[in-house]
Amino acid sequence: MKKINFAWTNYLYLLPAVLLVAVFFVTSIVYTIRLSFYEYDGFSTMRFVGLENYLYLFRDANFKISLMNTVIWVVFSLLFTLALPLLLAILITNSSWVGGFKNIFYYPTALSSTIGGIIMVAILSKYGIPQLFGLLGFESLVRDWLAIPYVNTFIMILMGTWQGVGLNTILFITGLATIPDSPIEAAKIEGARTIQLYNKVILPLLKPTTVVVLLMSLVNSFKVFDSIWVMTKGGPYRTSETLALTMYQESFIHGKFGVGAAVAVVLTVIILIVSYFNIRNTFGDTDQTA
Amino acid sequence: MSGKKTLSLILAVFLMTGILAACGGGNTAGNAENSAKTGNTPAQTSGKVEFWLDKLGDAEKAARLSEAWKKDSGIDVVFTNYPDVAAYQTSIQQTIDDPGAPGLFTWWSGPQLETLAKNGKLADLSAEWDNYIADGVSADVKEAFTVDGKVYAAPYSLRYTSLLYNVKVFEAAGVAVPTTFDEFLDACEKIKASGVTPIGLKNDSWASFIWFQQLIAAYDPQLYSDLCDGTKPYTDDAVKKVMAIWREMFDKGYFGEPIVYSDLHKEFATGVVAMMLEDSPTVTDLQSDYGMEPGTDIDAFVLPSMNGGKGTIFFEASPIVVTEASASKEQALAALRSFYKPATQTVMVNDHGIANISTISVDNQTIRHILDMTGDSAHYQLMLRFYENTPEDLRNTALDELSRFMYSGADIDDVLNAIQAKADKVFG
Repeated sequence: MKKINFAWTNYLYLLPAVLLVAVFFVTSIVYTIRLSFYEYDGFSTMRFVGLENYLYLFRDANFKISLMNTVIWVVFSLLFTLALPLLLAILITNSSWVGGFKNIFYYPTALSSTIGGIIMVAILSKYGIPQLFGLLGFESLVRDWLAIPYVNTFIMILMGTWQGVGLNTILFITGLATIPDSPIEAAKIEGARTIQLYNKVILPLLKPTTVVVLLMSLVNSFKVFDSIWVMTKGGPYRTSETLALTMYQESFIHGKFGVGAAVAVVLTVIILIVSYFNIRNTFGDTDQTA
Repeated sequence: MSGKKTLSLILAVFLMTGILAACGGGNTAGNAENSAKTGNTPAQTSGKVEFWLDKLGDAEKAARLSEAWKKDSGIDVVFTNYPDVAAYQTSIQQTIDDPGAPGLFTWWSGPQLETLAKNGKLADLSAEWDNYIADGVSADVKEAFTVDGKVYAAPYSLRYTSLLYNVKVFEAAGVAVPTTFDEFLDACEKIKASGVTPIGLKNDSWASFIWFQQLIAAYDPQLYSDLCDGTKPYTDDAVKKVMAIWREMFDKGYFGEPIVYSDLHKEFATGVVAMMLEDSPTVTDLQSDYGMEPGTDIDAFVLPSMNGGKGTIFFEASPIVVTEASASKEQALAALRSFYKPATQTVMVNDHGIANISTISVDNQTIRHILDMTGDSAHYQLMLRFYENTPEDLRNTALDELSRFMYSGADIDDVLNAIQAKADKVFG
């Protein structure tokens, strides 16, 4: 009989991580899913309500606004935190002060979102940047910009871009640095102009970095919370809430833990679906190249 | 030794032990309980109790309050302040059933207090209230903390809302303190004509009820009570009429754009804004941050009734509660019994602008003026503010809808219909 040489020690190395994930991650997921079927205010006895929390959500106008805001955050964040860092990375790598520009654009990333948010509250309040517009004759703009319903979401996205662009720029600069010289030189010899060079050679070779940046930006924009909470708390009248804020608001402010858990489940399902297609494409490409 | 002598010795030792034990326990909760029953005797005791709150971020002020409280009670009250309300509520939820829970913590009156009380999380303070009243706490406040006939809290801070006004702006505009609602509207018009925004608004998502409740009560205080308990619908013609008055005030430019709280204070202090409907502790903030002199630079009045009735002063009663499961419950009860002693309350008045007792001496002229008005029952009446006086679900919807009205000029019928739709569900 053939003896199977089972490497138990390999699994022992994995055990701490598996245990930690099981205790703190899997149990939380299971508990959250279970909680989404209950009515619970944190103090009273939990009451099973079936799908009522989910039905409540999909009937709630605030949830629809929150969902729409999340989509706006994702779309615009992807546009800004993908296109702008790529452009900056290309410009910086071709400049004569690479180190300096890298630092300047990276500094906002070093700040926590909360601190960045607090700074923005001061800068965008009536006595910050709006005063400058007043001096230029635009009196109607002299107001607290973060208090303007719906407009404040786009202002906060720009703020998120200011903080998020640095890391992605660094990743793109690193990605550009790892592209071998030979295909670029070959393309130049073949007569490729700058735009063709980037379109046909450099950007395709940069795709692995682009996918990483895309996935990171995607997940970050779905779960954006801290900066919005600091700047508007989702207001005025819940117009700048995203799903992450709605989850927090329902759970911890309104004391509806069941509804909050239902938002968490919906948010997780959306992220999983979107991530699945991206991950599948990434692995698909890897399989083709392998 | 004979059997009788041995028995006598044992009984004597037993007796002495009992006496010594009784003496030794004189400084503990047992004595504190007695003092509760015998009335307003100082509850000197010893020990330590944790006090959690979300309202006292200034460590120096917390230290001063703790020191005065210890002098009055003998209890070492250890303050833990949470800067974030949600984190605070979560911490309370997670610890409230544990013996290690804080003996004292602040909470919110109304439905939130009711939830804790009905779930048996709080100590019944009904028997303690005679002491608080004897120390000068108004018996009228008791109702705000009563659930099913039992009182579960005592006031940490009583805050009264009134119209704070910049005295110099009023003088420059030639405006006197209005005594009727028409005079108030005239004052707004004159102030606006002088180039000053009559009324400032703060950009806080929860604050949209402040002008709503004040205008409704100015129209008819009974209407306010009826809305809060579901007797009358939000779609009532009287409510629509008040909303139309409010809208007209917006249209005439009497309100400024909602701005950050700190900017609003700055605008008030610098005379960009003439009035703001705020609570009494705001006076001490303006005094310390901008050097505004109470009585000279800043004063207060109550929005006059629209029909010649009494003015309504809304109050917020932030409760202190005692955790039923806490191992330091007895120390908490004893400490709370001394919270309304003069030394402790003097710190509350001087540092926070909060007067919980009528017997305290208040140097701040504006706060004194506000307190005088609260005691003048011939001209003013006290009412619990909308935030704590309305079921939570309905309140949250009302706050959103009233914000929509204020920020975006939403249609009155749309706003009131949306609130009433929620009221129908809440009140059944």
